[in-house]
Amino acid sequence: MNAFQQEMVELLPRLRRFGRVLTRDVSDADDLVQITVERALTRADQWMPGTRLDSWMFRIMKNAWIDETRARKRRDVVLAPEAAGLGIGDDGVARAERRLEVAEVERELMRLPEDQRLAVALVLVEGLSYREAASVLETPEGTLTSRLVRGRNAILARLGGEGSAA
Amino acid sequence: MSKITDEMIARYVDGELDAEGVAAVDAAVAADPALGARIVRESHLRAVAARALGDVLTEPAPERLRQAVEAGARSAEIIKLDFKKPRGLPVAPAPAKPSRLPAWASAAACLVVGVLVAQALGMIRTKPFEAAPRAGQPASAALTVALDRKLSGEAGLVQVGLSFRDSGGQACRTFQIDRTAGIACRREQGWSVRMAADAPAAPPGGSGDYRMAASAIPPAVLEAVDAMIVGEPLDRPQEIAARKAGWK
Repeated sequence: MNAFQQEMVELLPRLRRFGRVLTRDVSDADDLVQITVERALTRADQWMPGTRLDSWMFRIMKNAWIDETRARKRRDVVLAPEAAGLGIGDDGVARAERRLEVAEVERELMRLPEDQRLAVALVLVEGLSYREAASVLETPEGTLTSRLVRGRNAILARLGGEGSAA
Repeated sequence: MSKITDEMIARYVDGELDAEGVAAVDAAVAADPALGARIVRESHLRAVAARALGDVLTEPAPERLRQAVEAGARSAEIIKLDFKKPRGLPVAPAPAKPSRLPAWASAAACLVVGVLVAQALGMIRTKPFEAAPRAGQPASAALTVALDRKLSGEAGLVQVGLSFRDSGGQACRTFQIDRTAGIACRREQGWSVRMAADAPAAPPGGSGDYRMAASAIPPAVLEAVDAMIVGEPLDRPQEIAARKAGWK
């Protein structure tokens, strides 16, 4: 295994995570990671050493997913498992005060429309800069920023109680 | 609220705001507790979101993914690639029996003639090549000669397998030299190796059987072909025409 492949192995966990954001399905995510890895290897010559391998592979993954969803004729993607063992009830807890728990943020993230979901995931979950995230999504930075703001506002609105427009 | 926009808040929290903006937000927060609370929430969201889907980071990646990295491809994947359906077999030597082979194998059928001729002529052994071709590099002189002149399936130290066009319309050809197989595509300035992988040594004269010729192309190379190919592989007349045109 060369250094390139070694770095790729180390990236696998994060690729799997971003795959889950994209596909909202654990096993689809791993299939997508596999496709991504294979594509990346066949295009290894297009990667510029010294640039971030994660952003490059996220971009390949995003495009592989676009291909895949087209192939599926946009088969209805199963909505995120809203009730997946989260046990959040309307128990009268003052919503505005409630701590944002990881599972809730996850759930709300998964409910966002894809463009907002990816923007939020790349910046808040993966910790990319706006510029890097925009390059993964192949959008202008302004577009990335507005998706990010909308996605964030939606998550906070749903979790925050004010207006609770969900 | 103040003239602090949502975008400024996001940038502030994400460390994407310039110094002037940061100063403006700080000043506004001093005068507006609600804005301060909002920023605390946004920061908290960022901190929590960073742990989202965190389980996957600690669980070991499935073996198949690690293998995909190591191998570049698995032969099992090749079978389900299901290349574009065979539409009209190009220059099939005889009405072909239905084949379970993927469509590119029909193109490989065209190799038979070349292989047989080459075997009849006897193959030429030369000394091993100085260095194995590597992705991203221009083809060596020897490889260039072979890619320019050889038809698929002709024997020799350099063997050319399939020829096809990629999404840019450029001619690409699979090749094998010694224990390295790969794909090279024609660029303005010559052939450029697009990918290369280790491969079992190919029978130097090819085999008389196109099935063998097809299956001699290593899985990693076939995967790459699948990712790059547009349309069908070139058949023999197309290959001859392309060669005449200098693979442009």
